Amino acid sequence: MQDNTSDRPPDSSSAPLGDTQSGTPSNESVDQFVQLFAKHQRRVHAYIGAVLPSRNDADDVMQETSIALWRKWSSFDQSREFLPWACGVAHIEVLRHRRKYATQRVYFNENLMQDIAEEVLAQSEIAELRSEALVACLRRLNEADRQLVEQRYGGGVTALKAAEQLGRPPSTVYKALARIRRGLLDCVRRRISPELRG
Amino acid sequence: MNKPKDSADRTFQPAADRELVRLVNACCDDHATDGDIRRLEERLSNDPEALAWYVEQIGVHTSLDWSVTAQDAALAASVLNLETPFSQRSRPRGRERRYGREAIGYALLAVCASLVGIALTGWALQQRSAPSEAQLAARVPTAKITHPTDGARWVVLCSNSRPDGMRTDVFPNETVHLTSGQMRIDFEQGAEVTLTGPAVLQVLAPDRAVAVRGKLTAVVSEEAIGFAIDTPRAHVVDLGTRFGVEVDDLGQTDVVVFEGEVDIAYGPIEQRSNDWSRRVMRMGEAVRVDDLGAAQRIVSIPSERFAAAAPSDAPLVEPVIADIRDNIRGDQSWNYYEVVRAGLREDALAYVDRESHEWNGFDERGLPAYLLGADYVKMFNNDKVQSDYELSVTVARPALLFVLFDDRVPPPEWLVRDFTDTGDDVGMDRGRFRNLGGTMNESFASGVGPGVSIEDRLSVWVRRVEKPSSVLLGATQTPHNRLNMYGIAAVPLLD
Repeated sequence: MQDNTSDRPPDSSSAPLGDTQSGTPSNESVDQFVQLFAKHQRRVHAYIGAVLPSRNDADDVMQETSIALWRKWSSFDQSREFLPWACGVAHIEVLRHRRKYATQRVYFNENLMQDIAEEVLAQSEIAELRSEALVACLRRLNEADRQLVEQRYGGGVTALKAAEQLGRPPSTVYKALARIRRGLLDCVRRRISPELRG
Repeated sequence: MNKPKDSADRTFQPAADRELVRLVNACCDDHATDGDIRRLEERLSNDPEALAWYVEQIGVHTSLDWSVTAQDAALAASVLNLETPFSQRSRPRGRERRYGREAIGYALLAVCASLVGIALTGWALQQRSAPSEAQLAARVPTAKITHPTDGARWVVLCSNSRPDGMRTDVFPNETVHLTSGQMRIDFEQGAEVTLTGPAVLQVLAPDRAVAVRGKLTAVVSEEAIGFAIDTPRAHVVDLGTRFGVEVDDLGQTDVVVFEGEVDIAYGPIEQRSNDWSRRVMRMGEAVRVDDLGAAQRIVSIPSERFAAAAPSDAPLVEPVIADIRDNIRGDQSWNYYEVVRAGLREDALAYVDRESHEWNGFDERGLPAYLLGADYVKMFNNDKVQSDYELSVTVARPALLFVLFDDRVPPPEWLVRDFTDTGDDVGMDRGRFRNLGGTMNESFASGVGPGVSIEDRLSVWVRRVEKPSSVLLGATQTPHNRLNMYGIAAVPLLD
């Protein structure tokens, strides 16, 4: 099990990184990056989403983080773990974004961002269990709620836009989504608690 | 903050906290006002249970939202004519995207998306586990966590990034997250690293670690010479010494050498470390490598900044000496002044470039009582020969500012003009020291306490500084290279 969870690229000591300056990275380099990024991108996204509650901000920073990771990939020390490095890059992008728009928007202060980051880290211990539980809980939604979730999240639109598309008052959609999210969290907690206690 | 509890142990009932529920949902659905964000910030800052619930609830939201990234990847992929499972269901988000400029990054995202099949219906799961107790027992730890202070809280992350609690054995490629307090990490090869929270340190090997964030002081014995610390902007190899490293959130790295020497390589993160600039740093030198990888001199360092540099029993007091600036060192020099907070006492080290020169009472009566516990500056003794030397001392509050001046030479004009001789004296116990040429001078023994092994007498001069301000001091104004550079101390001016 441990062998399968190593973050190091296979044969990283001999694999050339390729010429990223010229925009023609080697296949090996691309493969290594793709594998590691694929494995960890959801966690990076979760981290950004927690410190930047605005969806547009989080999306922008996830974009910038993806770009930054690729740009810096050639200098990544492959004897190190990928996820801490990726989260470190994400954190820098969060701070850059916050500094850039600080006069236009309100953000959490840096202390709270740090606290949130630590909490995300602490909870990541059971992140996989949560994800598995969430899939099961989504399957238990009734048809109306499932449609609303699909409209809102699967459609990649805001709750306001989803309300327009469904022809329902925004306040009604907000309340329904809040209820569904809370119900999903309760469901996830119930499903993972026995395993945590075991 | 406190270490978060497992979800199963939490008793927080969000349903009973309507305000918090409303605020979090307003964020999830993009209708939170600035006031809502501020209020949420206030609520989360003061309530660890609420913070934990927030992260859980936002986690559900971001998991549901995750398909969006896959869509972006699909859009980018379509630009590049790459096939992905999402190409048939991509939907524009109505926000400008920069596909052209960074197409390769998105192409990779697209490939990633196709690899894991992420979307609402496809959470690719990979069960990870921490090593069992039996597995841990079979391995020899690379480092051990020792001397945690009261309130020290940390978590050790396994090499697969999974947290494994507050254990004390650390194995290769594991990471220590210290959220609060202080601890020491004793490496197998002999280096002792004191971490001050919040800090993150990855242990790579018995002789190597990565300072990801935060502050550390390393004490390296002779058998551990070669111990290396990596940071995002610098690579520090110890040559038998005591040094400090601090890394901020942007990767900016400060390196301070308290004793001995280190090799440092530094440069921009985009550049391969083999191409970085290199230099040997010696005792009394400090450098800041900024977030672009450029080196800048750190002019002064408060003693309390690094754990192992401060007197262990120094009281926590407001600073009197706030800053030090000189006119003789540009960016090529990395020498720093150490401002020792409330640290003047018998046998206090006098200079940053002398290993054993100590302040003492000239005779058995000891140091003048008003100097005990004063802030003082560890100067460069070699500056005694700088004829155009100027030093600006900034005091943070009304103070008595003292200059301790060598009696073997006449007081310079600036000293006589601006200060008054108190009539009191202090002594200098030289001990062994390194000559300008680098050889060790063993001519003088070290003593302990007042009046013991005193080689030189220095007069105490004083000036009242009525309000926070800067005071300009000058050179010793003598070609005599066997005197001592003057000392500086300050105490609060009481009403």
